[in-house]
Amino acid sequence: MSSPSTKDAETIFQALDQLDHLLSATDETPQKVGFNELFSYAHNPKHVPSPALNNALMNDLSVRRDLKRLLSKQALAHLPRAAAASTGDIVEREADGFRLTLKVSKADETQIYLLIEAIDRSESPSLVFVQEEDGPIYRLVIDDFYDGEAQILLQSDNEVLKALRKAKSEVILR
Amino acid sequence: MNVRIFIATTEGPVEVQRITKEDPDVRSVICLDGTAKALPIARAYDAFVKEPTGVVERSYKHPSFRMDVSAPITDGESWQLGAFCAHAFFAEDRLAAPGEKVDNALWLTGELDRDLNVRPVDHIKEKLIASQDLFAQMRAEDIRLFCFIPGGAGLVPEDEFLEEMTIDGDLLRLESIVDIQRIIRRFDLKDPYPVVEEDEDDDDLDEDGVIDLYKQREKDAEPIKDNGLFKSLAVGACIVAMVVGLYLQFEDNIMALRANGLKIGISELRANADEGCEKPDKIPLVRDGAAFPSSKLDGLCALEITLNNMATPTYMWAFAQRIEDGHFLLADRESLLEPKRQKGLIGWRITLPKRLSKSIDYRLVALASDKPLADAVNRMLRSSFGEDTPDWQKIKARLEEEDITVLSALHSLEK
Repeated sequence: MSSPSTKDAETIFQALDQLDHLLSATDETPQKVGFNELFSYAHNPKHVPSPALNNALMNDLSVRRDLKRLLSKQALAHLPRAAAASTGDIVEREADGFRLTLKVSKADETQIYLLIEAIDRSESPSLVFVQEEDGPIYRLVIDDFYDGEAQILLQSDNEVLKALRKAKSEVILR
Repeated sequence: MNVRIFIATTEGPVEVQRITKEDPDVRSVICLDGTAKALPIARAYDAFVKEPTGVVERSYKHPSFRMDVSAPITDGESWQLGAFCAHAFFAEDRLAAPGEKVDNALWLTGELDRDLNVRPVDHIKEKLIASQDLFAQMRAEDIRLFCFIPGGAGLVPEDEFLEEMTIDGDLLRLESIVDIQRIIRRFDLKDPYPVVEEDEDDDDLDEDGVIDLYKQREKDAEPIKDNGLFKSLAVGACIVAMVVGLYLQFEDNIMALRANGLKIGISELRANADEGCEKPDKIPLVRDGAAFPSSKLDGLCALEITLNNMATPTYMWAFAQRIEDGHFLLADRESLLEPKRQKGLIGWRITLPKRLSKSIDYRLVALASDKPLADAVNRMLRSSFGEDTPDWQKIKARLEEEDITVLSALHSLEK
């Protein structure tokens, strides 16, 4: 059995070791994401996110919060979570003058058409952001919004698609 | 026996692997090798499929398809001949899957117009050179390969080049064509635009007993058709009658709708007491508010619909749509396919079947805009698909939001 003084020393050593570990920079340390990059990610369809940004968006609550604040100020349209009465997968959302519809391809059931349609709006969104409840924010580039509509074919295991199908996800068009 | 279809490109032949009918709400799309990757020409393919600009829906009665191909097709229009032929074989369940044992294959390049004439394309030699491996493969597998290219001066490569390519006319044939009829006949396909026999009165009607929009071109001249001198006289008389009638329409304000200098008019062409429908009497209708007086079907040979743009030249389009279910009785495809600003009088004639089974209420609509109308019309048509009757007020409001001048009038054909 250890004496009290030995036990205290061991605890203090472990605490200091953890402190050193936290203070020392290693390859595994998350790199800080600059505001510029976050802004580009939120606004520029051609922006390719760095691994650090992707990592931060998956794991860093404050970065997600910053992105959401950015998007909420600059959104073309906000399609909130589906009504509480909704059950099962969501296949259509409509709000703020835009409609998003999911249609299964008859050629391949594992592929889904995402139809984005401006119902009574003239703006052309170039990005779709989907935020799962308390989860990550996914981003999809719309590179062919034309004449008030776009159509994007997605694999059914696509993360954006999976999030779109969840009633509690919110969608922002930019 | 099924047939394999290859679309010629300068990067090599692209096989049509599969065609699938998609939900009408979905735009037609060309995908790469069964993946979810849509090719850049997908929008052009959608326009090629869907009416009123497209020829595939017109021929095979479905507005949305997915085509899977073996390699990318990046731009241009020369894929159209191959794509259409793939649809022709698919419609008869004769499009071969990749690797399927076949006796014949088609290699095609050419642009198609709305009458399915094959229009010239560039880089035919380059496409042939890029397909040499395919030619060798087909020969090794004892598959007869037909290469179809557009006809015309300077389009068929010289003999020396064909010899180098081992195009011998036996297992590997090269044919230049001016329309798709030769392919239709050679491979015993159903003619997408069959010629209607004049004696078969009911061929004008679809199964619901309504006028078929797309047979009107063949039937347009029927009431005034005859042979020899009489034909010339009758045609001349009709033209004079039409000009006089249109002048009268203008002078008497028969077509009283005014919006931005645009007027819609309807005239009845009624069987003449002596000459019948060969030399019909033209009776302009006087508009009453939002509608023209209804026309009795008895003795009615045809309707003439006119648009008179007295303002500055503008892009225009017109259609007539049955109120009951949105069925199109008339749609001016030409002004969508080849948009140009127009001014003055434009006319269309709807020749009526001799035995209409019921009365028809329809809406005549004219659109005018400073921009070409094809995109807005496509969007309008897409929103009109479905089981419900199209909501005209919504359609109109949406068009007007796009700064399109919309004029409409109602008219009835009464039994």
